[in-house]
Amino acid sequence: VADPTTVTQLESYVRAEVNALYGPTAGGAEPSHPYNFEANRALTKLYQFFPHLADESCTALVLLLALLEYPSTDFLALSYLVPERVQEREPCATLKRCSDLLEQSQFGTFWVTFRELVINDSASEELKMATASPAAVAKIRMNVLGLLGMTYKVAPIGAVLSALDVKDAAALRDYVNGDAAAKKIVENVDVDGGKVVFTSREENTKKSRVFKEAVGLDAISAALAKGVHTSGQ
Amino acid sequence: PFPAYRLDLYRTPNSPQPTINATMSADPSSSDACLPSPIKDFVFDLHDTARRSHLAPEQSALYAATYAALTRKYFESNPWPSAKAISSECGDDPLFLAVYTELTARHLHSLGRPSVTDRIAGWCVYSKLFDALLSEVEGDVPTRAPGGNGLFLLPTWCFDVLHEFVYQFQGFCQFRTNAYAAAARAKGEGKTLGDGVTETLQVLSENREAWAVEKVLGYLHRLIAAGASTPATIATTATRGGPAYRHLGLMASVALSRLECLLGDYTSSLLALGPIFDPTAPKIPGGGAEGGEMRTAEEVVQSVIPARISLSYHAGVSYLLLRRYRDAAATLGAIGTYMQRGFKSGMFRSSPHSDQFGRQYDRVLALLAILGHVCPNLLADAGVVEDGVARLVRERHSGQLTKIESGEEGYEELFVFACPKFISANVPDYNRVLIGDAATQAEGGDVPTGQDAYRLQVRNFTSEMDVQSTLRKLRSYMKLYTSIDVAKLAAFNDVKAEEMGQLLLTYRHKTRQLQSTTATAGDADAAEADPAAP
Repeated sequence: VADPTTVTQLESYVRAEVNALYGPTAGGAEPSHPYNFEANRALTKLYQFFPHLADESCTALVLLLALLEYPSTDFLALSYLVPERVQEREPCATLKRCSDLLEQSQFGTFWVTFRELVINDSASEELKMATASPAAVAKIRMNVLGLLGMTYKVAPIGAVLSALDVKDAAALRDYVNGDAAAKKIVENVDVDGGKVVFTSREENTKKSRVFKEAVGLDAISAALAKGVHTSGQ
Repeated sequence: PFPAYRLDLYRTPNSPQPTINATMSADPSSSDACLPSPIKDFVFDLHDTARRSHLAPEQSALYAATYAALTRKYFESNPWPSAKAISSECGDDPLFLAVYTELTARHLHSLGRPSVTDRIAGWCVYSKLFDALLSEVEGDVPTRAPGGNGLFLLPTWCFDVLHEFVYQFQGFCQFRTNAYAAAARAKGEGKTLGDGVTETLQVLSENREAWAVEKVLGYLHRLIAAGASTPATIATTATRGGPAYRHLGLMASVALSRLECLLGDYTSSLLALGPIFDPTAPKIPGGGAEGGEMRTAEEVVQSVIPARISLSYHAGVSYLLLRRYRDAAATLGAIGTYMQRGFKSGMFRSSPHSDQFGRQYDRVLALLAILGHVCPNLLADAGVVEDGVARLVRERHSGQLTKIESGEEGYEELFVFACPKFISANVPDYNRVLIGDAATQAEGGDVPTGQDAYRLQVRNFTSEMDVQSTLRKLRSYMKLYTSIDVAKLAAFNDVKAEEMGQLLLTYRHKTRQLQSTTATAGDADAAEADPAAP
């Protein structure tokens, strides 16, 4: 527990994760080094306890791995552990900005900012490689598509193209048809109609209300009590 | 006069604040013959309950009442006799003597503001105690102290030990951070350090191992492991160490959860509670010759009022900062209800920690005010937060919530009031200040302010709340309408129609969160849910 001698081992694992998940040979069904939030968080804490051992390039890789797990709260959890001064320096500052943009669904700006990491002077070669990798782009794209599918039943095609950073409707159709997971989310890409129809699910379908003819007193007594209290203030 | 958790609560504005260095480091050589009989009897009886009889009611009377009474009578502003002075009353039992030393050291810390050497002496007390405790159950060679029945300590006693341990660590980190930051600032401005400051930093530099975070965490994890609920471990600790280890293990979980929260690792804070809510763990006997009443781990922790409050408060903070608002509201709502009933029934009056409960209650209500404002349906749902508590939250914080409604800052004020005192646990580079000059400070960069840990948590929290507050108005209209034109909704929310899509996506994203699938705090295995759902 909190053993500084494990820092080197954990750093090696982070680099192995990045390589396995977003390196040149990424894309297999079972990566050799799967994403491990526990290990990455442990390393971040060790950096917190032993700042002289901290490697900011490794911190950036840890943050990138968490960013690519959007919409999970892994990045949020790590943001409480990475010192403010590190988060304000590049490339962590750009990674933080990317996270904020994803959280606020500003996907168009996100893609522009994300791609800046590839040419960021402070980014390590591993970070640049990972952000440029098709696997990283595919992961973010799929997660954004998932959010679109929960929010919209029918969305304007322009909004979807911008959110997914896809060139045009034809490319979008090819993407959906070529990815089994995307095909489950998207029902139809209507190029002529300029819209994308998402598969019906609970989140994107109007809920039907059940109206009871008779409501018991106990069901409304709490509401009545609140009303009396409020009006009495 | 009872074990202190907040030194400031025991100081009056004009009271002298002597350092307790002399008394901590001195080892009164008063012999057994000089001790008053009640003291000798107390030590003998306490040792008997801890090592032989394991009778919970007797130990409770000695620990809670007799100890306080004797302290008031004989040691109002003096330390208790040293372990050496009373050792003959307990058969020179080294483990019991370590336990006794910790108990009396807590009283010592309440007598005045501890100096740096007092704080380091406190570390020696705890490391000696935990080494003695763990040596009885770790390793292959079984050891058994005089008495033969292993160690029995009440759950409340175990909680007090571990709570004070984390409290002193917290205090040490704050002391160290502030001392270093002040010295670094002075050096950066070209000023000379005072003798007192230099001496403090020298002592800290020479005692880096004292209160080292890896050792503090290590002890807590080892105690949790020693008290773990696997049949093999239970058999080992029951036959070798005694029933105290189950209690120590559970209270170490509560202490670890608190410590991880103070360090900003909210995920680990929740995971630390796993042993307490493990449904497969065997029940724990209450103590005594025939074992006593059997209780679950959760029941044991809940039976100790300050443990229950500490657990819920830190779990609630962790849930809030990890954006698990429903779990946060459920946890804080439950403890709020419990505390409200406790105050009304007078149940808390008999607790030695009752003076702290009021402030803890205020913090819980402030956190619920934040949650209720971010997700109004949480306070409106009696299944999550009881009506009485919800009403009190609205009454207490209506002014601040109105400020937030009108666009003013308000969340930060509430959070700053309610949040724990976060700490930085890293050891600074003392040589930079002791040897370096102003130029070195400038070169080194990154001079700590003493508030870095705290500022980081508050900054992240307010950043999250900035987004949540933009969604609040949208949420209310989504509740009001079954269907509405996008342009109309955009107008209500003061945004352009073309920006509405982005706002809706953010709303969908932010209103989905992990939620516990069981009714217990700390469950990291959770499903995604929408707290905005009715």
